[in-house]
Amino acid sequence: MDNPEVYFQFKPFYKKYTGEKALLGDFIELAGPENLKEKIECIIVFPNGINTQVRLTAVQIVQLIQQEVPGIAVIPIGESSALYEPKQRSKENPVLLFLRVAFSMVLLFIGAALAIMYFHSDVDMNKAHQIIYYFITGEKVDNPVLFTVSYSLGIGMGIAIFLDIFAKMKNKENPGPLELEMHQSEKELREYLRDQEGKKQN
Amino acid sequence: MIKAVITIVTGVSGGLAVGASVTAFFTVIGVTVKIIEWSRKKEYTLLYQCSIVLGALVSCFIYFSGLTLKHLQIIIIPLGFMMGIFVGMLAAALTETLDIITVAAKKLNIVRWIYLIVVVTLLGKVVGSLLFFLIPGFF
Repeated sequence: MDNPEVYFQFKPFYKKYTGEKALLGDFIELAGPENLKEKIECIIVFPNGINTQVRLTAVQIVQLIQQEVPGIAVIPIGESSALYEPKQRSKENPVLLFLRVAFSMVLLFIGAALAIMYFHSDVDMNKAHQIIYYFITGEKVDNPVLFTVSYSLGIGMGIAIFLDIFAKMKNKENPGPLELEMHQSEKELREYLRDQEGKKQN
Repeated sequence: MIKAVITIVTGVSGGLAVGASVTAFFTVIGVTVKIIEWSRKKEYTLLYQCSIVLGALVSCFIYFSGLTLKHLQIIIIPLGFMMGIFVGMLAAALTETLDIITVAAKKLNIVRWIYLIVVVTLLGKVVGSLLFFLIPGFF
């Protein structure tokens, strides 16, 4: 009889908390004979769970599986290593959280206001508005209030449209540009940490 | 004669450079893409392109000719609003803005509250713009 074969790939995220027993099935996804699959998924990797970041390589996984099931052919698919982080049981201080949120709100509010002022005076927006106002009404006005106020409200509308705020209120499924950006930077961070961890081990 | 030729060549090349870079800016930054996505009619790309070109031409005409249509106050508010929407999209699309929100949310560990942060940024923009135009002596 031929040797049985299993294929595995790393799961993208680790879902258990610190201190929970970590099984091989938490780290990898398997394809192969059903009875072997169950056996392999129950292999204990870290009996006491993981407390810090852990880097697993495909070679380590192959070794673990072959110890348990001798003579099995283990074939990795995709990435050759992955970094896992345990979930933290968070007991966040609500006051601190509130302060943090409030602080960043104030910071961003003032920053956004200042940035748009910089932009307007940089491009001499007022002159452009005067010209547009003159073109439409034929009056030369220093400060076309009607136009500038509606323009200012439009800016808010534009940001809301671009960042899909209205779509967010309806359904939370589709990722907006902001989610994509967050995901991107998270991925870069994970990749960096994984490679850095690999350097340390070698 | 030679002066006229040189002037025309300089003008056309200057216009080419500015037009190309402005359009590239809008496109790369993703504002046009966003608007076209919003309209849900990708088939009409040619139409959208023509609108961009026409808009640029008309604005040049308005800016340099000094002509006036007179007594069209009725379109001032919707026009200002639409211009604001475009500038707002531009401001939101700038990678700096996106990055700042992302970094702020992550550093302060308040990813769950990110849309609150976006709304606050938005209000900041509106208030900043209003202050700029309404307080005399700002420009």
